[in-house]
Amino acid sequence: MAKTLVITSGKGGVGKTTIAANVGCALAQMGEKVCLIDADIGLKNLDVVLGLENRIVYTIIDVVNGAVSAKEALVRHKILRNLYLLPASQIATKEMVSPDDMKRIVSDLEKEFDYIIIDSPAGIERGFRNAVAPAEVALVVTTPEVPSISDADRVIGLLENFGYPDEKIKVVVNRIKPKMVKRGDMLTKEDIETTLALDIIGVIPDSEEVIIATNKGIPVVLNGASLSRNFENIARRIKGERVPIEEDIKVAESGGIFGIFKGFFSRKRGEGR
Amino acid sequence: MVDFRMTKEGLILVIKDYTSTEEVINALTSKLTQMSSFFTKGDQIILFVENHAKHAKDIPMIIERIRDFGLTVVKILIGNESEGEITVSGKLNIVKQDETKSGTKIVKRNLRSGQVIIHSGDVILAGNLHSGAEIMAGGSVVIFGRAEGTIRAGLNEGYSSVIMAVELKPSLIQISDKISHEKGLDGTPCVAHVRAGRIVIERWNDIHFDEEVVK
Repeated sequence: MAKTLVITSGKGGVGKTTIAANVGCALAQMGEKVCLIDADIGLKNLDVVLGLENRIVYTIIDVVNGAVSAKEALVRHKILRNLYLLPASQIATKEMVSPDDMKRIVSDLEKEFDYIIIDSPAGIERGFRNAVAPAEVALVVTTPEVPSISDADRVIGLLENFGYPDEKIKVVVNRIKPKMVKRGDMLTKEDIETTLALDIIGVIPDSEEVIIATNKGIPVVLNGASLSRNFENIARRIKGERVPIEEDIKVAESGGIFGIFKGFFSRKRGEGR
Repeated sequence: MVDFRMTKEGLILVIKDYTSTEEVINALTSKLTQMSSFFTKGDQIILFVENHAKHAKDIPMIIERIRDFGLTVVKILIGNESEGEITVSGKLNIVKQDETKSGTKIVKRNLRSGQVIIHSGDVILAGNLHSGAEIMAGGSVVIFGRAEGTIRAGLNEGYSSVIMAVELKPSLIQISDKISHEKGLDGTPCVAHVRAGRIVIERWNDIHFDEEVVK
């Protein structure tokens, strides 16, 4: 039975899709069978980030309409053979899918996969409701900015109302700039932790690598960027491994060539275990 | 002003924009008395309030009156009503917690943005009040935590109500009809209360009330 996660944020443009793609890739690299579901119907992006936009035959709308089964609509990743995507339709709208449809799709796929990751659209309307309905764990993405955090807080409140217990809601801090944090010009991980009163499952530094990788359609985890370590740490924590959050910050602070070296070194060590 | 609508969702009590609190309470009482044979104890109804921001302070009283008739309000809708058409713009998100017999509501959790506590008596919040969250209390409000949201106290009891918090940094404070945007001091518990016709915030240690207020 798969563990179903939803990646959501409230505010747009904070990196939900990038995190969904990279955490999915990281889990798949670890040998898990992963299915990504793009719930952002009408504004799909996940296929582009994964570089699968030219391989789509059926979309989630075809599944909802009963034209094909959920399994038939899946697109297999070209490099990671145990990573699959259920793409969203660009021409449909979010109102064409209901939370019950999503639950049905996930229950169909559940038996086939180890992890199902749902990429939620921004906002708190129908699309959000669709995305969070079938999941059991929610990763709430926020950037270290006040509007983003206050939207995250609102979303966490809504998740609580949908019946998510606090320990099933995790926060991902994206686009942190270690230099600015050191100067005291940016909210720290601790600030966010106290504001939201929830556990942080990962910290990801701001990086140009992500922009390059996204435009190429190859998630950073797959091209050996220094940042991949952060996504792998999140994947490990999802799997239940105990990886101290300080590791993320260390990577974020070192960065550069040294960071790549260190990331490579730790990875090798990780494989040896 | 006060009307019932039957919908798929259930029975909706529509309260349209009104001018005075007594007016709406009286209309509500007569309507509910008129229909008392229709309801059985424990029936659930939905409340719809037009222009809720303006009437926020009356909502606890309205709910209380509805409860006097043995009915429970399951949700509160907000929006507009024109020419018989109801446009619902949202739902007030009420935090459900069991009533205590003393008339004090104790909530043990963090109240997040968009969540609201509405209660006709005193409210104790054992947790943080995040910015965007709101408490509407008929009496006093005590917060064991950081208070950054909106706090409305004394909506029934008036100026005798106080607001206390371990860290008092609210976006808005209201005691009865007085409104303030002031914030408490850093790192020390503070109390907001009405003195000489305005809201003052003082350190917990050097607080003193006007006798008139204490009575």
